[in-house]
Amino acid sequence: MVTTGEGPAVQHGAVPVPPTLARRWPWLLGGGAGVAALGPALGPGSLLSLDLVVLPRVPVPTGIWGLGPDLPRRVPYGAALAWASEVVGGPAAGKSFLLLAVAAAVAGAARLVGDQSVAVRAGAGLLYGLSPFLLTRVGAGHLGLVAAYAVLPWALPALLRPAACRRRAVLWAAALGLTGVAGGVLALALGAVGLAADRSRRALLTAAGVVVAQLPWAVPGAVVVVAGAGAEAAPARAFATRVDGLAGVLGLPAGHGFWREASQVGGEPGAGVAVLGAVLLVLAAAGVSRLPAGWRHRALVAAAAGIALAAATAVPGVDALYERVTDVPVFAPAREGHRWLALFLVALAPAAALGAAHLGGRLVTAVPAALALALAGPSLWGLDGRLDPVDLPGGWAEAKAAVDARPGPVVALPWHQYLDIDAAGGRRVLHPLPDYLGGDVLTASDPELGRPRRERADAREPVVDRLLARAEEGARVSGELAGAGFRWVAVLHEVDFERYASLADDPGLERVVTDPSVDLYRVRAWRGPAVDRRGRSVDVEPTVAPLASVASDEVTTWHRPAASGWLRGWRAAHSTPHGTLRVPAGDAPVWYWPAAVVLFADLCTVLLVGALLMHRRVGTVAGGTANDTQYGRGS
Amino acid sequence: MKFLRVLLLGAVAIGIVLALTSAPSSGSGGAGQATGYGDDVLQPCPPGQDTAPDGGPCLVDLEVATGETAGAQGDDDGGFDSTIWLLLGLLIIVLGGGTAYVLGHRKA
Repeated sequence: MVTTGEGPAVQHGAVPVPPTLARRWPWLLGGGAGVAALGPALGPGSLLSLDLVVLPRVPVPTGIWGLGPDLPRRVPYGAALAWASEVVGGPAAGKSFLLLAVAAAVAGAARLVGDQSVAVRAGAGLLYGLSPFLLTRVGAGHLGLVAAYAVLPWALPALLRPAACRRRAVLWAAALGLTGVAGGVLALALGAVGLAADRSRRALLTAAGVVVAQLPWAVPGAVVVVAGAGAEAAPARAFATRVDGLAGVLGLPAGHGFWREASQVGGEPGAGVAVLGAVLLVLAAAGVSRLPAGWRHRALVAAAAGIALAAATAVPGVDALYERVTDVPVFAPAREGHRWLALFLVALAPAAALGAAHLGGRLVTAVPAALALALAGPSLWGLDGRLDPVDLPGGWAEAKAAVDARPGPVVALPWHQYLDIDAAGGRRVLHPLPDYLGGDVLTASDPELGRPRRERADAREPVVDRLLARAEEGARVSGELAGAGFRWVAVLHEVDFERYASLADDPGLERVVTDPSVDLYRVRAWRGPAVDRRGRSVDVEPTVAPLASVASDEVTTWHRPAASGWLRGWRAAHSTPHGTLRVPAGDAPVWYWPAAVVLFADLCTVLLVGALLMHRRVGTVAGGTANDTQYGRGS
Repeated sequence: MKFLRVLLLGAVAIGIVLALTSAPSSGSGGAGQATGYGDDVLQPCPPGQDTAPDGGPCLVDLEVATGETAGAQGDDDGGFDSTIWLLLGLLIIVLGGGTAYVLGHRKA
């Protein structure tokens, strides 16, 4: 093996392999790694594990219109996932998504050292694609970050050298932006490093392109926060990277440190993880000078920033500063510092693989792959049960059928955002009923991290909060539920559901589904999707989510969560004391004007990406090569 | 270089053994509070009792409810001192990393 001095090492004397296989084996390896990681998840059934809620139908996130009440964390990729679920079903779509993500991560990291030996590429791919960092996020259901992590190694060379080919840089920024806020912030960070290093005269234009590529997630997020009703996210300290002692520090390069220890693949980093993390650092130190010269130094800067930001929430003093910064709404997407570790790992994996090859000997060259398997090994085949498929109780289907037959807003109990679900093997899960039932389903949005907070921009939530407190004391609340526009109350028989036993004695509620897993009550006094001032039912016919026709010229209360931005014609709608929408008199359609801003932002991105895709001439800088996949030459 | 390789392979072997014999995380919410996004925080049980003052689970219950893997037991019974391995890890970083970096730069 020789090195060129300015680029990656070139392998001489290797056994030639068919070009097709040479191109595709990293994907095959990645697919195999994905199958090994997901294991039983690939069988039939839903997936329920923390934020991983993959049910028979994946709803289209309302955030694509800038509509709350949920903060649009699944925008825009969630729309594609929802559409895929309509075709092949939610579980197949979700599991294919996860499998593809692991495969792409492995193949992408292998591509970063694309002109190296098979062992080096496999080592880099497996170190990156089977990292406990990724597997933890798979098990926790952070699909946006999983997708971003998969795209990151593909986008890295282009974003770190934007002047080499501005078109590619912006397109890869858009690809990361498609994964939502998780990928968007990584694109912005890498773009900033690349543009700062280039100091090109046209950097501003490229920067604008990178920013426009992030509009599909940034604008809906801003709209929901601004137009919503006082959502308050938990602070960064609740999501501090877990770095306990030296083992914790050395665990970071091994992909550990997730703030929720029960979800960390591999558990608390012990001596073994610490030693393996140390070995990874040694190998990376040996190999860092062999990374492609075109982006080596920039990747090191990004990696240093990544691990510094990841550790910032765990360093006394610095954590307070980090929290103050992420308390500012524009920096809120970065409140969970551990996510930045991806920037470190994407450089560490190829550097460690190159370092092992440099130190010499087949045995040492195989060390990265062995390390990857050792770190992931205990959790392979389903991540310690997190990915065991779930057979949903029959009562859930009965409840859904009843709600589908007579649609209307639902209160989902128990009143927790996250709760242990028996059907999911007792795993902690995001309340599954909103996704399962679809439509307008209200449940608590307090993550129960310190003092009570509301993470959903739904003004009805505090109203229902107070109602349920009274129901726990035995009060009959059906009349007020009807007043707030709720047609159904669904009670999963989980955790503390007995607190709502008084609902069964409320004459204003009719129990229509009784099952060991769930009760469904119909609110008898519910009148309709909207009511006029005299309490008469008024039909509402939505054309699309942000545009509806209300069949009354009078002032009407529409039983949907209020948000500033709704208009009837050009007259503003307001919130009722129940947190629903009071529509002014008139005969014009009711519409949500921020959706127009969101659509315009989407259009800008689509036009930009379309123009770049159609513009096949590849811009280069002097001395640079456009089709050099690693951008390895020049610096 | 040979010394570094031996040191590295030895550390890898030890690290792999330790990593593979450590207890995997359960992925479940645990036996403490059954709601919320955070980790469960269990307080130690009052002396001589197996429930918290409010009747909920406490640390004694956690051991019963989650159990421990044979690997975890073996880790303790084997008498491994994690501090020694951590110091070894640190030594590897300082010596190995420095040596590797210097060698790497010389070749490049």
